[in-house]
Amino acid sequence: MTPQQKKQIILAAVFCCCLAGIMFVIFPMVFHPIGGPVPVEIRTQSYLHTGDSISDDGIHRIVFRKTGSVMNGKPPIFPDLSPYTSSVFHTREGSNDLYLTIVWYFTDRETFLDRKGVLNSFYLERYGNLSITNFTFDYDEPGNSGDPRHRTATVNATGFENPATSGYFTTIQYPESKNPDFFILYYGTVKSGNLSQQIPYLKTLMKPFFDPEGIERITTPV
Amino acid sequence: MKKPKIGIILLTLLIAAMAMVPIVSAADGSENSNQFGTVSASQKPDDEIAIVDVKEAESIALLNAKDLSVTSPDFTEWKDSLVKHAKTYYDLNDKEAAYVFEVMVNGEYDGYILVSATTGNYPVLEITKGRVPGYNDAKSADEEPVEKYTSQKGLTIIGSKPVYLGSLSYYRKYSVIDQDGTKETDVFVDEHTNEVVKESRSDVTDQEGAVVKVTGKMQAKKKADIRAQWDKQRLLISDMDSKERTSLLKSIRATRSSGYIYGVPLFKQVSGVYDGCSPMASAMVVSYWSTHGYPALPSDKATLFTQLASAMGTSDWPWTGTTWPWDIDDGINTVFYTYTLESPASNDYLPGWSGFVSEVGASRPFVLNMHNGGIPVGGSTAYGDHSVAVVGYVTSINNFVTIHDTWDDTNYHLLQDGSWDNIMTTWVRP
Repeated sequence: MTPQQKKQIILAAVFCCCLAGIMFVIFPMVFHPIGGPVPVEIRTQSYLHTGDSISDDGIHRIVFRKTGSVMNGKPPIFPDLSPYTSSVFHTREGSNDLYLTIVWYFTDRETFLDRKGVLNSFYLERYGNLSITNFTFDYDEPGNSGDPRHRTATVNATGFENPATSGYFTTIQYPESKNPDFFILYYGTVKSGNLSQQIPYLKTLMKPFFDPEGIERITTPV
Repeated sequence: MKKPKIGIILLTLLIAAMAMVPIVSAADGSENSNQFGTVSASQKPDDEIAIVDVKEAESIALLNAKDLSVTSPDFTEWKDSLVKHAKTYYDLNDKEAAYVFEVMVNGEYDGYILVSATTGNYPVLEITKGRVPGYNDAKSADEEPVEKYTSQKGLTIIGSKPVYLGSLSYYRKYSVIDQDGTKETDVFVDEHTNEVVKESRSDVTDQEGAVVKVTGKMQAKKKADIRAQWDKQRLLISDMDSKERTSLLKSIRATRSSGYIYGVPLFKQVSGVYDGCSPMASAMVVSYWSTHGYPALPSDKATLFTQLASAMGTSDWPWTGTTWPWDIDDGINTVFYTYTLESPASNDYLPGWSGFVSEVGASRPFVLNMHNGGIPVGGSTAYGDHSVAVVGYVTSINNFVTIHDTWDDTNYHLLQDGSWDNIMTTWVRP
């Protein structure tokens, strides 16, 4: 390589560097990757309605109105199981019923299993009546019958009843997930009568969060 | 000719490219025109950054609280709200950076508005119904960890100040001295995590960089945007006779406008399963077209996400669900072409507000890719480096884009125009 060729290569390299610098000034987004994990505080809100919720199947219209803000931290009832906890109250239009959703989020299996045990042994078994149940949610859209993408979900849950609150606990794990995400969920009413009468409304409250959407979830009672 | 004068050719090209910088950077500045006057980036820049008086900031907070009660259905109760100054945040040079105003509805706390304490940033920085971290100054919860930390290191706290570095970066800065009382330094506690996170001022500056962005060399367009916002807000709170005010309010009402594209689905990322905001935001846009003239396109989240993530090369490097901006339009085009033989997507590295309005007006949702995005109205988490689908806009005292943010599949959100460091849009125009 002649000195002249070397000089040309150096000049070309300097030119490219300068051009890249100028490009960065003009178009800073070009060199900035987009993405990142979903923030933890967003994950805790994955299973509750952060606003109002309206369900209308053409026959029944059920409207839940958010009351107050989504609360982060210790829930209003039940133990403080996780540093990542969100809860929210809703009222149902046409009734005086008050509904409470709580999401406890865990990033490791050991803590999740331990806190699930704590919840059961030190709270639920002591202070209420328990039952095991499962719900099937159908996400088929009208006119979509027979479609291979017909989506249903079965949710295994623990019913809990005591004078202060009645509702359903369930847990969620993602076996195919790259990240260890675990949730304990509670959908219940506060001083709003017996659980069986509230089932249709609680199912309505829960349904949007269990749409399979191609993801394998495992739900279990607590 | 003996030898090609490559050096001269390259130098000429370089000079030509450099000459383009001010032209391109200022290209969008001419859009900052409204009934309050025209502010253009091509005007003589006024780089002087002034401190905003707390009284003026309070008027701006109240103005925006009332305005938001009309703009967003989530804030209707703020119509009769009051605001009160709760706290002042400082920058790393101990100068006022932002004021927190609590919004009170019927005497009860209902959120806060963060107003910039300098004209070097947008007037309104955050609006949320959450609690500002470390809001209670009485015996702040972050004192305990710093006390442990300083006692371990043999340091003595001699004072503290709250520090705001932009986009939910709240710290408390403790000035400490060593045992000999000779060396003074700073310790920073993150008000979100309540942990001692930084031991020196340079660490915070390097990590956050927000102060550099705010007070340093900003793009002409952003400066013009900020200036226009201050001009607008100051005019609205200025002393004027009732006739003038009535006329101005009429003008605002007349120009208040919004647009919304119906039929764009809400898809949500699922951590560890659907990692990648860019393919998820794009999936919502492509799904929209599957029901608006392109039935061959898939419409479901799982199929679209998988295909788009693959076509965009979304990977876990350098971090989870990363997509490089130049791949976003190519990825959409690949999927579109597979089903429709069309390639309608293109990246725009210098988008402006008028472009947003025009796309929404044409019922074409698009992907907005942000660097260091702020928090949505009423939210509490900053978007950071994130892609969202834009489905509408609202213009009022502030301009907002209506977005499907890939973190929530039940609600849309409003994000104030300019609450980001840089953006790139991916238009999809079949």
